[in-house]
Amino acid sequence: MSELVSFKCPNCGSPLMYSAEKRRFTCEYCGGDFDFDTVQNADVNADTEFDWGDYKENVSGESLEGTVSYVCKSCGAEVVTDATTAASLCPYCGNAIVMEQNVSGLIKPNGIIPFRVDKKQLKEIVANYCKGHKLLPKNFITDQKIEKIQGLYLPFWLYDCHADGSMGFNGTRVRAWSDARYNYTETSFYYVECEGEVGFAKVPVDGSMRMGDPLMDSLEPFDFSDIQDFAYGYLSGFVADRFDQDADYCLPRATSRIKSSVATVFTSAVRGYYATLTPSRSNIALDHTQVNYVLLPVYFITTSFRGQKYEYAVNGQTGKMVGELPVDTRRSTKYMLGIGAAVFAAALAFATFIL
Amino acid sequence: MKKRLFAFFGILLLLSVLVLPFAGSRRALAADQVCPQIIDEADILKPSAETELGAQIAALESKYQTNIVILTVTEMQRADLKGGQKYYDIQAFTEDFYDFVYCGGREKDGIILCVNMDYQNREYCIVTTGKEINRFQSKMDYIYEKIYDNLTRAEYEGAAETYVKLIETKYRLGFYPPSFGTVLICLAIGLLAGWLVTKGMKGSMNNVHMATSAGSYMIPNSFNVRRQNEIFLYSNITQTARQTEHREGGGGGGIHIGSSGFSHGGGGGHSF
Repeated sequence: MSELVSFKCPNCGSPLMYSAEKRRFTCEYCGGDFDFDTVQNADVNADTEFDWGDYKENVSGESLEGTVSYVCKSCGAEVVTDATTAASLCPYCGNAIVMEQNVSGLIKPNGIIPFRVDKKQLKEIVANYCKGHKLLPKNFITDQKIEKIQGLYLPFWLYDCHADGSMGFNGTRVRAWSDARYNYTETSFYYVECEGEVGFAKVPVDGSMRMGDPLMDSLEPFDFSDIQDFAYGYLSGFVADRFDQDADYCLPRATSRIKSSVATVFTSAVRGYYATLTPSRSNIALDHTQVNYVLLPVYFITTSFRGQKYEYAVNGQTGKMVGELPVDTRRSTKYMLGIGAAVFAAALAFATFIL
Repeated sequence: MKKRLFAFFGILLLLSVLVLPFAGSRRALAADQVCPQIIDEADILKPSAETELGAQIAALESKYQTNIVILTVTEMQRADLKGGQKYYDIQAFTEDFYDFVYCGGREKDGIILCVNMDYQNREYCIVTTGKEINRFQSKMDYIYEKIYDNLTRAEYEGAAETYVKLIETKYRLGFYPPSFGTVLICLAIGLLAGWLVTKGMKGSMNNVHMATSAGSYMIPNSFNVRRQNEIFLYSNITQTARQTEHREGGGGGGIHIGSSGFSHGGGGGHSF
């Protein structure tokens, strides 16, 4: 009598069957036969993948002299600017902020991408973003007023790594033929292994607790070839946030994105040969790991329309705008019913005259 | 005198051959008509219904310049077809009856319903000729289905009325009004399409999404496959019996050439 246990095959990663008669584990995919100790100690049953080890963190820890720190008493945000820029409102909650002498100030970043989009261009960027959306409230584009624009340098961690290893897949090929009496389908099962390497550079993760990950992800891509050495002059007229989530804290987000892309490229390398392909095992090690701390430019725009406030973010380097536009419920219902009626009429005509 | 007697009996015999098979007819024949539109040899239609339907059919034929025929039999065997041999295919029987008996060997536009009341195998068949092939072919299943409902309930007048009504509707409207179920399905499709399109439009108004991959940050040309191999494990072969053409009640549907050499449409024989 056999029973299924939750161990994976050290050879191919498939689920193992335990034979009480033999007192051993067998793999029905690759035919492997193992004792309990071998299975328990196999790497495949331990989560050692994508271990960044002691990665090189390029953060000097050096506080910048000559910057002025402001603290928001309302939301607790700490922002920094140069001595010549007077900040009065919190870029996050809009409440008054006060200058503080005893805060830690801005830690010197490895680099900064300066603002390349001028504030004067933002009105046009907002108008272009709203164009073509049929469910916007009537006159939203013309009557929307920009109430506040805040240019902010946000802290990002950029992760570099080189992934090396192998992935195993369970694949099938299907062949079909017929004779006078029967149709035949032959399904052949394979264990497929692919071994290789791939490199990633500057995978960004925002280091600010107040910024939602989806919003910051949506501002991508940034052109990282434009990263400049930090200089105080870039802060003039803008404020910068200091990171409150360190590189270790943000690491799982970077790992998750890299892991997904590694699986995609390995799968694409073998996919063409099989009808179905299911990943069963992976053993990927990371090396040449390092993290850089940079400041990236983002505009936050607050607009108002009929007493309601709307907030957007704009990539200060490329001008890409992100945010959620309001939906006019009446228009949405009209479109739904209009399209529904047209499709209903077409379907009815098709059923009546053609079927 | 003998010649006159032979001529008299000859004419009497000829008349009996022409008239006897249609003794059930209650209506007078038109000048160029070989036999009536309703030939109820199985005697399943009431005389009153036959008269009423005959009048309707005559009006339709006159209005739309076509032939509409109803034939009921108890066996597929006639002295005036195939030398009196029995037919085993209701479609071939119906086609030959229409071509050789009803139309006298000429190709005429028309549609005929044949109901075979053979107690061992009750079946019915519709055959179309000429311009009626294209008019009715795409809706043949629909017509069969409607008539089937009457026949299975032994409503033979009802079946004949349905048949005539369906022909009249197709001529008058050019289509059959969809059933309530079809309207409901189309309504559901319409609402679903409207909802999906509007959902897509709403989705395009929010471009804030979590990133799940780092594909944009892969170093160009850095992906290098060092080794790739496969191990054959096992294979399964499944076999399924091939579907063979099977028609209930015999007779094939679709458009084809009959034994007369004329094209016919129809839906083949169906049991009831």
